[in-house]
Amino acid sequence: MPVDFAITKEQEELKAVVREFSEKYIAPRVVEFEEKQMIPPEIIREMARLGLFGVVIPDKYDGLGLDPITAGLVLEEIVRGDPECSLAVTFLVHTSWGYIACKYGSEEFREDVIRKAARGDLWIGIATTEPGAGSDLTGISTTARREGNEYVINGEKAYISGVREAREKGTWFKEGGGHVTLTYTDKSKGHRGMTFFFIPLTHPKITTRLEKEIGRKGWSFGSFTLNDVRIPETYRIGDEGRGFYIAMEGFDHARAYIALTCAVAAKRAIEIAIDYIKQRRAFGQPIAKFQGVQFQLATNWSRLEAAHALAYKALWALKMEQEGKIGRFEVTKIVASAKLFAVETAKMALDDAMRWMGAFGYTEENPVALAWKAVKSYDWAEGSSDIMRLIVARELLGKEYIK
Amino acid sequence: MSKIFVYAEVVEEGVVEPSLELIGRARELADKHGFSVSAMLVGFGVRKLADELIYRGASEVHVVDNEVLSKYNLLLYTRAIVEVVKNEKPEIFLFPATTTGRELAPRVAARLGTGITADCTAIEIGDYVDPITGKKYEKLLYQIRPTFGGTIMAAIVTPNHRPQMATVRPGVYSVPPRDTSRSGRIKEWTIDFSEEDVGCLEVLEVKRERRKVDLRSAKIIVSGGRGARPEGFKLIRELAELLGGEVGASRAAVDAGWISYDHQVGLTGQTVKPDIYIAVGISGAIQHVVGMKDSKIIIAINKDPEAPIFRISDYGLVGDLFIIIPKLIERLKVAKS
Amino acid sequence: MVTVNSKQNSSSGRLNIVVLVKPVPDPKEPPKFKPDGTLDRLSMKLVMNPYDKYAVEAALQLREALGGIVIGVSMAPPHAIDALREALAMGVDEFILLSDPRLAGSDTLATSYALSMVVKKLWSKLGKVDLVLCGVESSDSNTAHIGPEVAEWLGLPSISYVDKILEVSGGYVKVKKLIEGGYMVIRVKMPAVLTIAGTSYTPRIPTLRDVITARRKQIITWNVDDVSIDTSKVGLLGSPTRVIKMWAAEIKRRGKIFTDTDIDRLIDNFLAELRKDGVKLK
Repeated sequence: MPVDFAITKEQEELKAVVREFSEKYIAPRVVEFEEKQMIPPEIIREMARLGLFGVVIPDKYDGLGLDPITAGLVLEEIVRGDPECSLAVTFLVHTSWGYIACKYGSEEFREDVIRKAARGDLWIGIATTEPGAGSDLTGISTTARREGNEYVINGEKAYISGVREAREKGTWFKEGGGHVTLTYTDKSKGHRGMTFFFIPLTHPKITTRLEKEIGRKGWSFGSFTLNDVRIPETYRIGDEGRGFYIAMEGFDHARAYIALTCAVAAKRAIEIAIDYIKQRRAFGQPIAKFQGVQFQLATNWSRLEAAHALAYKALWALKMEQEGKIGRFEVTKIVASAKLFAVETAKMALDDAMRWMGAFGYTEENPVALAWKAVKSYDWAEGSSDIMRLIVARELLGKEYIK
Repeated sequence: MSKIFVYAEVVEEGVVEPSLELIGRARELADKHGFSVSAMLVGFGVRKLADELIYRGASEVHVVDNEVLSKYNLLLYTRAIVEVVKNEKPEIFLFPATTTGRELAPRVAARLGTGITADCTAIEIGDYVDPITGKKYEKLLYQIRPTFGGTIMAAIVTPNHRPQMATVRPGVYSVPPRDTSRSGRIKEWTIDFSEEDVGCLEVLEVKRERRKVDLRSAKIIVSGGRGARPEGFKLIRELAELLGGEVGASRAAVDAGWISYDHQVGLTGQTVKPDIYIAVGISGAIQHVVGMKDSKIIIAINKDPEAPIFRISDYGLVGDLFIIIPKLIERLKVAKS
Repeated sequence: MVTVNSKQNSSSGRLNIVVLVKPVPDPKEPPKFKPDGTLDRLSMKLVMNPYDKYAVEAALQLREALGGIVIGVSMAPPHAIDALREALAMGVDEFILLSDPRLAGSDTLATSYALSMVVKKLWSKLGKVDLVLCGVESSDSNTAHIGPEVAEWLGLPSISYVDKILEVSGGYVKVKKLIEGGYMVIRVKMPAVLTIAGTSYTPRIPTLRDVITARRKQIITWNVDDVSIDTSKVGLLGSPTRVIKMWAAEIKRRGKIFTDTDIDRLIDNFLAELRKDGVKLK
């Protein structure tokens, strides 16, 4: 696998813009996200102005039409500014599921919703999990029943990101937002009877409830209930019965960005910890002079470099898929291993980094502690690590050996 | 005899100190190397300041006194100076590197087609051999100045063009003593100013605060910026007093009205070189740094670990100044006793 | 291309603004030296002079208020071209790079002459130039000479250390200029040259789309012959001043930064370090 890790001049310039934004707007206020449990709307508005919500959406719909690798390079700068990862969530969920919604949505949907999403006027989230079903997608109970040119949706989704930001139209996003939601249109067909719909959370017949997650507190997390919610058929994403497959594809996108987020958040945390251990003294010398600490540092860094590279391979795989050069299952295998490895590696590194920082590492102002909490969420979010293991094993051994 | 000209910049109170400093330095160089020192006065009602310049060391003062010059006007002042220079043909012409000097001197230089060096921190007279032609030059003005934001020093000469011009940083040289026994020649010039030039630039308003505190002689300065807020300045004053130092400020603090302009350090404030400069709640923007970067030791106290001030500090304390300074004051009081 | 060939109607109020921009080594990075002690300019990353960014921002705000066109101009070697793209990304309509080996070694008089010739050429193409803006000084040379000297070559009035452009009307521009201890409000007839101090303008961060569009915009390159420059007035030999020596200034900062949530311990460590270094606070 010959590789070129260099980036183009254009990518460098895009990164420079996001870095400037990150240094000016994000870094000074990161601790505030955690304390106030929200992202200041000004930051979201500036992100919209910069075009950060339309990165992978085609130019035709007011997006920038960039590829997943470039989107990843941009995401890196956001993560570096916010290792607490709320903004990373805001960006990557909207970017990956926005891409999917655009790819499979109807033309009316694209002109209406996707255009707004690209401009940053509307946020797109993902809702598959329910109180009774997480890893096993087929265990969901939300239903969608067709009536004329509408669908009537009933059900409950739980542990969903961005419920508040999508619901409160005008606060963060001009039009609020909605979630690409997985339902059953025909339960008898099993996973071939699932369908995706875009459901605007501003809909009057939706009730929401917030949870208190322990980390990435800046972006909300909660549940929403659908009681005979009627949405136009133009909001169906992909054909009836295709929901499960579209979900798998969408998860691959999200997981690739997540792999990158974990690797970069951990790297940033290590950098912060390095500054600390050079200053902090114990037994007459800076902690950085102790070989034990040096060995842990080197081991973690080397692993993170691998995770970082693998994350870019996953993004590359997505790009190759877009260009028709690689198959779906090949992509899934690479992405699953990237997410698994990144989360595990980042967790270990953050664990060590927190320990070097001692008591200070255990405080809410410490970005390392915040990153640790955020990365821990990816043990289960957008596909648990154990599911990742099953995916990779399946691709290596064949379906007959799994389950 | 070859002449060294010095531009005497005038404000309401009289000739600015930086011009007097240059007359002093010019006198030193003149006595050592055989030059004469002339001063240049431009304005309205400035004739009476000529004696002061002679007392400080000028042997000759050229005066252009005209009502149209009552308010500073770049084009008219340039015209006046160039006219005198064309007739007097000085070897060297020095300007103080004040905001006025730094825009007036280059215009004069460009009009005369000669070279000029900005913001010199030292000027000397010396010989020079051109490495390419082998030609030897004697008694050239060595113009020594910092570049690259102060990290690199350069020595510059103007071998063939005249006058050799330079703007010199205020405070590098000291104001010379007054000797009222000195005498000299005063020459008044009459210059025609065209209607056009007069109508081109018009000063509508001038607001200037007079400086009552001289930070340039302070050995220790504790300075406050935007992060300090009025409450912070109380602590800063206390710390400065404890250390036997003076209080300084960034332009932001002065503009906010927390402290008077006398204390301003920076591009349009004072340039200081104390033994210790403590920057409290100052981010380190280039307009402030330029006024204090030659301090022997720089200590910064700031809540933002990424603040640019830390890049040019010897010691940096990252944290809340409202917690750090009181504790620091306590510790220092204990150490004192 | 909006085009350097359209002639502007002076009575329309729309402004033709030229902004002089200099690519400089990134001021956030320490300078790099070659083994022989001279500056290793080629290895240092180039960015737009931060002061010129304020000038670009001022120009863009004027264009937004009154309409017109903003053209960036730079005299620099060809590899500096990427640093200048940022001006295009910010919104400058076109960019002209004056590049020629014969310009190497130019001091401020020669440089300002060369730049004035570019402005003259733009003048004839556009019909008029209303304002020439630039940053008050560059972060690498810090002379502050270019603005006033370019104005002199063009025979125009100039105002340096402009804090803010207050008003443009009736062929005049009113500005607030910084002086020691305060400010002056000056009215000057256009065309004029203004150097911007950067105290009242916040340079906009370009959007991602601006960056991509800027990448596709062409930077026009002219050489000495394109603008009829007299080569005897530029370059090393055309420069009246000569740098005879350069050396690193002694002041190297220690850069000892203390971070600790326990402030008492932070102060302890700090005072201990001062003692160790022999620094007396009183």
